[in-house]
Amino acid sequence: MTGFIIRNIVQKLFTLFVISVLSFLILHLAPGDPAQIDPMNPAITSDVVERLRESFDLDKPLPVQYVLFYQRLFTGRLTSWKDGRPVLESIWERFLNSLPLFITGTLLTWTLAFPTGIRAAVKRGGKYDRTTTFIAYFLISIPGFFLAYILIIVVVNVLQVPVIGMRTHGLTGLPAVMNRVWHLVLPSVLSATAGIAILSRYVRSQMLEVESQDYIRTARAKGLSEDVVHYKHALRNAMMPFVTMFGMLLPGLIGGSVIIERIFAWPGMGRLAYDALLARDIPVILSLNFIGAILVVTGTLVSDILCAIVDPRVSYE
Amino acid sequence: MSEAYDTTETYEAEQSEPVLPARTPLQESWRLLRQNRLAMGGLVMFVLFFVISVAGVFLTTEWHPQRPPLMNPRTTRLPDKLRRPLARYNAEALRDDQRPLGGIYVLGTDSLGRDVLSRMLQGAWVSLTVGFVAVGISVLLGIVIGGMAGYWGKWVEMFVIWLIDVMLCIPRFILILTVLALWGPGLFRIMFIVGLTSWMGTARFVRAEFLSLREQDFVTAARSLGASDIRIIFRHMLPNALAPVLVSATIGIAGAILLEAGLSFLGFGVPEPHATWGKILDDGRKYLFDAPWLTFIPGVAILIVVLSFNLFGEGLRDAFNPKLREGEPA
Repeated sequence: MTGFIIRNIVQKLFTLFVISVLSFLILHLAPGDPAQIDPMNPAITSDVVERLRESFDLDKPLPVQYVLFYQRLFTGRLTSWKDGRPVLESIWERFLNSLPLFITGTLLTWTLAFPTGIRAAVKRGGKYDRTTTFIAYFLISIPGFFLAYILIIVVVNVLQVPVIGMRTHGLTGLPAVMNRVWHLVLPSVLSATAGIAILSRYVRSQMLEVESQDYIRTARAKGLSEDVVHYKHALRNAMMPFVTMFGMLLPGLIGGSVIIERIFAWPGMGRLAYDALLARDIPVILSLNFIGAILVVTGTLVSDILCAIVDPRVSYE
Repeated sequence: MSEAYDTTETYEAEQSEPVLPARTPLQESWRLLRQNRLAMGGLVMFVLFFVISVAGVFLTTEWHPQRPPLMNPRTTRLPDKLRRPLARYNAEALRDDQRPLGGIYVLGTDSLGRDVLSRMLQGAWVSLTVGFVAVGISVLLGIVIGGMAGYWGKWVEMFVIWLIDVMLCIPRFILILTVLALWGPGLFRIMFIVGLTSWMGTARFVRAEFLSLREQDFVTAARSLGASDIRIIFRHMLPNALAPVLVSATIGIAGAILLEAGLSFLGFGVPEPHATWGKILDDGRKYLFDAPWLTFIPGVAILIVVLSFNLFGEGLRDAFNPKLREGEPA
């Protein structure tokens, strides 16, 4: 088992190395000098360009630049072009802001998707199944930003609560807490909708797959009640792949939130990425790309290990 | 006794005509598809969307410098800004060449008085081409890469599996945004970058199919007749592996259209003044409460198109599913 984990970690580190090279190359494959990224901007004078060149060591050979860039990133000396703050510091700050959104969204996704999917599979072909199937397709197909505006119109008109931003300033005590909660509701519901739809479909098909197995027929044949067959024999085995999906949640922290965080002016990582992209703040963009990759790789590592622990059929050799 | 029985059996089997199935697999799939009302609805919507987009290109393109297009999505009419759908045009305040087709704003106007209908028509073509070209690129890449892995195996396969793992570890949306931010936005760039970052699913399907196909007798037969690798891959194996590819491509188009709308919405889409659905929605953001049609018209349009592709794709999946075919055990 330890050998399996170590081998897996070494593999993932190599993958990460390749991605770090790739994302570094994106910058250099882009047309023009990275320091000349915004030549029309009057604020960028020749000595600013000089400073940019220096901060990226553009006068040195590419491999040296690569090493220096990641050295700066990991030692926390890499600073943003836009505000001069250390990149790691601002990413960490935004990460903490994204976290409540991410946790609420994930909890919503998992608590809603499973009962829906399981019930649809148990009542296969029935009215409930067909209704949830259509709703799931509807939610998968609706653009998140469109749904966001519909919800904003409804919530603002009907409930009269503020929804944009993270909080309303100047409140204390209970109203302040309620205010935070109201601000959290819409963005987290929105970041959960597509997940609920996709996951519940997946749970349904996984349940159906297991229900067609021979041991389910055996369980029925020996006279067990339908509930025991569904929830004890089928469900436990259908759960297997989802244990591993815990690991796949991490990457949603950055990529999935750009649009939602922009609409709700939520100062999280996605918003940081969006602002950095608009300002062509290359140190921040590259760092976010790489940190995103670290999150995905860590997620797959966790999945692999969980999978090996839960599923006895996976061999460690 | 038993020997004699066996010979008659063989004899009879040789004598009797080969029994052809009542329908070809394609006919059977079509029959299954036709029973699925949601999928057929999706197909109809798709055909409608295709016709509208093509019509949109003809109606909104300036074919000749002297002759303005029938519906000009660029005409700004400040006196007529933010008009409701079906509003009449203000003949006194506007010149003749600013008149919308039919003298009526069927879908209203935006904050610059541009006709939303003509902008939607112009944007339909963008959605359609981005969907098809991006998915075309990704399917082509997926077939070639997955096919090589499944056919040759060994180190090619190991490399492809590793490459797929690496590609899946790159945060896709951020990567696409990064490329568009550094290179600058553009229709072809979007198609390429979306295609280049979405071939992994297809490659996996094709590899899995090829792994089982290459052991089949007809492939051995083709090889023993001296067919080249390329011929075996494309002529003999690929047609047998195409069903799952077709399904994932249909659903991929839905995803690509949604992705393009998201990119346009974030301002990384096709540059101005070309209209796209995502951009129309983004423009309407500031007038959400005063001019909700600017949000709802493109939003509903994207929803319908993406939904119809998803439903049609799922219908195809069922239609190609051998478990659902007639006469075979479920």
